Amino acid sequence: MRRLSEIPNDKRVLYIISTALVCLLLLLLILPIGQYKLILSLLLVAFAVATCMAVKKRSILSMHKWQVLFLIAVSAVLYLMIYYLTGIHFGFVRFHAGLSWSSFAKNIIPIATIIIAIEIIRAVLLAQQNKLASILVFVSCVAVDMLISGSMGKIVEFNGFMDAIGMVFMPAITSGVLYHYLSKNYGMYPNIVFRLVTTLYAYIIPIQPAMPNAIKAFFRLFVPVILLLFIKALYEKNKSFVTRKGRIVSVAVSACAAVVMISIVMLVSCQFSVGMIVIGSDSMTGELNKGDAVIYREYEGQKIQPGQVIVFNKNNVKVIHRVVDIQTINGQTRYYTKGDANDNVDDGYITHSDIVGITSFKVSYVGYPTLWLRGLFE
Amino acid sequence: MKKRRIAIIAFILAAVLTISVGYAALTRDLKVEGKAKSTPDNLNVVFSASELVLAETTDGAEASSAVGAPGDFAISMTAANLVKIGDKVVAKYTIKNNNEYDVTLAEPTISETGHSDYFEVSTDWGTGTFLLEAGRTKDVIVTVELVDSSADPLACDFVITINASAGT
Repeated sequence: MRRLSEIPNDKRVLYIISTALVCLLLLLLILPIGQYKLILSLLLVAFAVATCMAVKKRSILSMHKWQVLFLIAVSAVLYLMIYYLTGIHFGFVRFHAGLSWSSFAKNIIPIATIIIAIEIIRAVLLAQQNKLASILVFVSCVAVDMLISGSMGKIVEFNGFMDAIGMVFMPAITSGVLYHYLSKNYGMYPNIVFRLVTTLYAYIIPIQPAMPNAIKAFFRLFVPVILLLFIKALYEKNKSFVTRKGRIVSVAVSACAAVVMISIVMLVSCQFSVGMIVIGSDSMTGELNKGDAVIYREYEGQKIQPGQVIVFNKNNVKVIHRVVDIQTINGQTRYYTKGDANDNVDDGYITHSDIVGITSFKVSYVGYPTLWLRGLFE
Repeated sequence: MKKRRIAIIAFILAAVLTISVGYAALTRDLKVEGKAKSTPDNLNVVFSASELVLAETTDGAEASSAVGAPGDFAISMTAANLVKIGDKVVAKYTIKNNNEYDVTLAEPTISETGHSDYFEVSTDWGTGTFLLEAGRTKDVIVTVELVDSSADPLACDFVITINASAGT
C-alpha cells in the first residue's frame, strides 16, 4: 500500500474528500444530529462546493443526453402513477397535513438541496474514474438515503429495523447502482430529476397508498433494477449474447425469475389470494410445528367444516387453530376454535369477518429464519 | 463486468431473502400477560355516633366502647354491672361512609376474650354484606346479655369487627 505522499496530488485530494464524506455521513447515521435535514443539507452543500473547487476534470458536469433525461423524467412520473394506482386495491392513508410553508422550509428545501448536492459530488467524483473513490461515494450516497428517510431512530425495534433495512437500506443500494450508472454515462441531471420527483412527492401529496410494507420494500428494491436494465437494453451498444439460443435462454431465465419473485411477493405480503404465514407458537404442535410455514388460501366465504384448520385474526394477532364447533345464534355463524396442543377451547368465538384464510399445506422448517430474526428483538 | 453482474444478482437474491424473512407474517398465541396491583386506600368509614339504648338496657348496667381506625374499624365494648341472667346492655353505633364512593360492609365478626360463656354478644345485622352508599349511614345495634350467673364478678371483652371494602 502506497503512502499518502506517494500518491499523485489530484488522487490524494480525491481520496481525502471521498473518505471525509463517508466518515462524516457514517457519523451522522449514529449521532442524533443526523436527523436534522437542514444540517445535512448545509454540510453536503459545503462538500459539493469543496469537491467542485478541489477536484479537476469537471467536464462531466456538462455531459448529458437529453433522451435519457427525458426517459428518466417520464419513468419517475410513471413510477408515481403506478404507486398511486395501487391505492385502488390497498386504499389510501393520510400521510401529512398537506403542503405548507413549514413543510417547505423543514423538508422540501433541505431534501432538494441534499439531493442536488450529493448528485454533484457523485458526478464529479465518478468522473475521476477511480475505483476507490467510486466505492466511497457509493457508500456515502447510501448513507445519505438512510439519513433522509429518518429511519435510524427506530432501528432498535423489530418493525423499525425491518423498515430501515427492507425499505431504505436495500433499495438504496439498488438505486445507487442505477444512479452510479446514469451519472457515469449521462451526467447528474437524470439522477437529480428522478430523485427529486420520487422523494419530494411524499411531502407535497398529503395522501399515500396504504401499501403493506412488505410489498413497498419489494417495489422499491426492483424499480431501479428494472429501470437500469431497460436503459441498458436501449442504449448500450454491446450485447452480451448474439445467438438466438442465448437470447431464448436469457428470456426464459428472466421469465422464471420474475415468476418466482412475484410468487414470493404474493406469499409474503398476504394481500392476494394466497398467503404464507410462519408458525410462531406451539399451540398446534403435532400438526403445525413452530418454524413451519403454512400456505393458505384467502377466505372468500367458502363453507368451513369442523376440523378444518383456519387462519384468523383475534385481538390484532394472526392465529392458526382448528375449528372444533360451529353454531348459528341469532343468524350469526360462530366458529369455536382450539389449538391441537392446547387443553382448552379458545375463549369466545370468531365470525366470518375474523377469518383470513384456510390452510392448504405446510413447508417444514422454512420459517425458522423469521423466528430467529424476531427473537433477536424480543 | 461479469463479476459485477454476479455481485448485483447475489445482492438482489440476498435482499429478497431478507425482506421475505423479515416481513413474513407470524402466528402468535393468544395471551394476556400483565400484572395487577391494588393500592390500599384508607377508607374513610367512621363511627359518627354512638348511644346507649336506654329503653332496652338493664338499669345499672354500663357500657363503654373504643373506636378503631377507619377502614378496618372495630368496636371494643366492655359491658359491666350485669347482675342477673337476662341483664343486658344495648348500644347503637352509627357507621358513616365519608367516601365519594360506595363501600361494602361485611357481616360483623365477633371475637370474645374472658368469660365468654357467661355472655352473649349479638348484633341486629342479620346475614350477608351491606352496601353503604357514599355519604350514607347505617345503625348497628349491639346487645350484650348475661346468660349465665356466677357468684364471682366476671368480665368479658368483645371485639365486633365490620370490614369495609371499596366498591360493590
